[in-house]
Amino acid sequence: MDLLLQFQHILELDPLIDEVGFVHPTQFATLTEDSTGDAAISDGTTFWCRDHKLGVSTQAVLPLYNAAKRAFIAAMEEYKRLGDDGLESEVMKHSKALLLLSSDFGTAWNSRKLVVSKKQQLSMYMGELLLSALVLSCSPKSDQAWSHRRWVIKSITGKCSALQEILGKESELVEKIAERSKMNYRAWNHRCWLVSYMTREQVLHELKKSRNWAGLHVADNCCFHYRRRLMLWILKDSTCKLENASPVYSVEVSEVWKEELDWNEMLIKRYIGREALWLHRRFLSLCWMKQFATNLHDVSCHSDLKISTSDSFNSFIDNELHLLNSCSTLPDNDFEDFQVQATYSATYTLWLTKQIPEFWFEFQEKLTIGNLKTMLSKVCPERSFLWDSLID
Amino acid sequence: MLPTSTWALRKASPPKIRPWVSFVASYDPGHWVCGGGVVHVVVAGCGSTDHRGTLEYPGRTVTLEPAEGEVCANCSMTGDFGNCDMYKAKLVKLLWVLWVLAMRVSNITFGRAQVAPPPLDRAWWKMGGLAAEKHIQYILTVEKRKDDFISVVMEHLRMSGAYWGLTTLDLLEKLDTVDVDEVVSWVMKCQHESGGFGGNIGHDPHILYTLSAVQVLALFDKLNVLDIDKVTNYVAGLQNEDGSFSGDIWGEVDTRFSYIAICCLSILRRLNKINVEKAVSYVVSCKNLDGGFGCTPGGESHAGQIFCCVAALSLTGSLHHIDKDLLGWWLCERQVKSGGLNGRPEKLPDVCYSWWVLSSLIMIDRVHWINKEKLVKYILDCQDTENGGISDRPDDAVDVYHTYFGVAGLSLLEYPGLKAIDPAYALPVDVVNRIVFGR
Repeated sequence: MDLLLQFQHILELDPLIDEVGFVHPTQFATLTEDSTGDAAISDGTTFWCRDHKLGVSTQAVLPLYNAAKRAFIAAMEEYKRLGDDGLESEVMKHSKALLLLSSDFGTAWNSRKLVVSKKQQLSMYMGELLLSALVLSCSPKSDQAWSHRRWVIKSITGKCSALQEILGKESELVEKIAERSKMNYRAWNHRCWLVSYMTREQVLHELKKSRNWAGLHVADNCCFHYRRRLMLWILKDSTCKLENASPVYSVEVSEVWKEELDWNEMLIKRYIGREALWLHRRFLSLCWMKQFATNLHDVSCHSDLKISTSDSFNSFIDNELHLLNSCSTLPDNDFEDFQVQATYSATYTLWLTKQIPEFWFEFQEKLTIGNLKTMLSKVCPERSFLWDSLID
Repeated sequence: MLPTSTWALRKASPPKIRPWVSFVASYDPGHWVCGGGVVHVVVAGCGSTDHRGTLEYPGRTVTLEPAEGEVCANCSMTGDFGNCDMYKAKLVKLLWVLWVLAMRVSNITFGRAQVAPPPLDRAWWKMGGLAAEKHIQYILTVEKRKDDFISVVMEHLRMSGAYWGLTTLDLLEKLDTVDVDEVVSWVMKCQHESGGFGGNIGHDPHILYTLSAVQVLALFDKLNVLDIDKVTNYVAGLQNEDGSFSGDIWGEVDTRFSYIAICCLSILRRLNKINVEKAVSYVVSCKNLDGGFGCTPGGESHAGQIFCCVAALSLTGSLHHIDKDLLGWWLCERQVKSGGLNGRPEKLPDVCYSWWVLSSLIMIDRVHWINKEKLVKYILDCQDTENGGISDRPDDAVDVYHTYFGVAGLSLLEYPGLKAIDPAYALPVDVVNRIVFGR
């Protein structure tokens, strides 16, 4: 049987296939042995399919790709020439086979966009989300596949009542893929993009939900960035509403920040020397000081609020200095992690004083900056160029 | 082997004054956007230093030095006069002449830009150095390879592959080994009736491949085969209301596309056909609190996106939107223990960031914050010295993409025997001089 026909036949037999992978011929033998005959569809050498998982032999990929490409180009030419409705299914069938083999073949994605946008049926748009998810199962970094999803969402916005539900599912998909494909920029970028379509409730829900994941993946800067995106969204939303509402709203937001700062400190102490945690702290502290500490200084009418703020500001500074001290003590062993931790904490402190000049004095009073330089030159001599430029 | 005399020649020829500041757009007193073209006016004081270097010597520390007993100042003007309205162009030129006269009358001389000696010692030479011949062979064979799986799945982006491979050959001064007519006719077959280019013959047009096609033609000094207005209309037609750019008719938006549009139209000298002000403000809206940039507003900072945004701002004379210390700090934290650079926190180093991070650092004048020697060593460690080509990390499989970015990175690091490359246009400096400054 023709290889491409066989491939497409399997895809049609099981429309619920949710994962595709390429398998080396030697692994193929063990797969066939394991699947003791029952529901597996397999010809023993090229394809294997069970539980909605499809394996394709790496040996078959090149001839299969060539056949799929030829069929796709021929179908597309016919379709463009005749514009016939009957040819649409051919374009869809062949582009699907092609994309499963070469996920960034932009012209094939475009042909699908063309067909779907002509039909304007919601079910077809949903079908595109399924295909794109299937492609992402074997190529989780495919730029085109992620972009295709955004195109679908943009196209159905305003036409589909279930948009909020779809956004929730998108977010779950990213998390599922991020679990297997670490620090996947494309996946997380997609999740960040979704935020602009979310409601306040959804944003708060996402913030709550992603916390657990971030705590288990402390080196994944992407997830922390996602939280930064959500937090900034909440902040912006609140300042917009604050103009004609009570300051209670702002207190609620400052609570979000306070909680994140405490949680981050706990993680920093638990996981020694993680860059992503310290970078997250830079963000949290910068916003905290700029938004809450300074903003509330201006509210001269709320004198009681001001006092408590200036108190909380002082205690913030004290807390950060305390953190710096506890992270800079190098235990008497050779573990590199502690050295790294000391570097990150000193860099963090220096970064903060540079970003917020008005707090420079506060720091200076309680900490000799000269010590900071000595320490940085000792624990991180490889960046001496930077320290020399920054600390005069 | 490459002639070692190239190095001596580069060292001997004194840098010209104009190029020093030609891509330093944000210096006081700023720039004027004049009619069609963007005109940068730069005044640098006596003894001022600049780490961006000259166009011929990107990344090298340059000091403006007066002759003995003299005071010096330098004013330089660059930009695209070609399309701006004649009256304004004349006015700008008149101001320039007046400035020159004023300096003459007041006995102020033009200082000469003194280029500091290369900051790197020659130790890496002894380690075997760059296997230039092998890399040339590697690129020439990859170009011919058409039937293995890797080359087949890459066929949709062959135009970018051509740009990477051919620019590498040019940096290694071996572009003449390629059949120009063959390349040019293939490039033109990839053009779509809309004016945009596809990644290969028969593929849909996209702004990504349109820039690659224009860059390839620029390398060969063949921009004259293009219907410039048609390409310009394609690119300009992709600008959205908010100033951002879509990649193609299907509407995906990304700051990469902003850079591509700006770079492409700068090469074609048609920057006046888009709304530059809005394009700049969109790029600025993608800036994060860490100083970096993402794909869209609120997107995570990524060294590749940062390059695109910094270069877009540089080409439009808008670098003043960047907090250079803040961004420079983030960028120099990309250097890891091995000397290599990563593109994001906690990631492994990768040769391609030698380009994205390094060119950004040069454009914002913070390249002295990283350890250049260690980076050179890291790139050289990623070579396949037997079969040619450069990989992402030592001992990995090589490809054209990483070979290009490795060689381009070495060029920015002033590695001997390589042509200098422009950090914003991503083309050899002599090509940029030819097409942008018409010399």
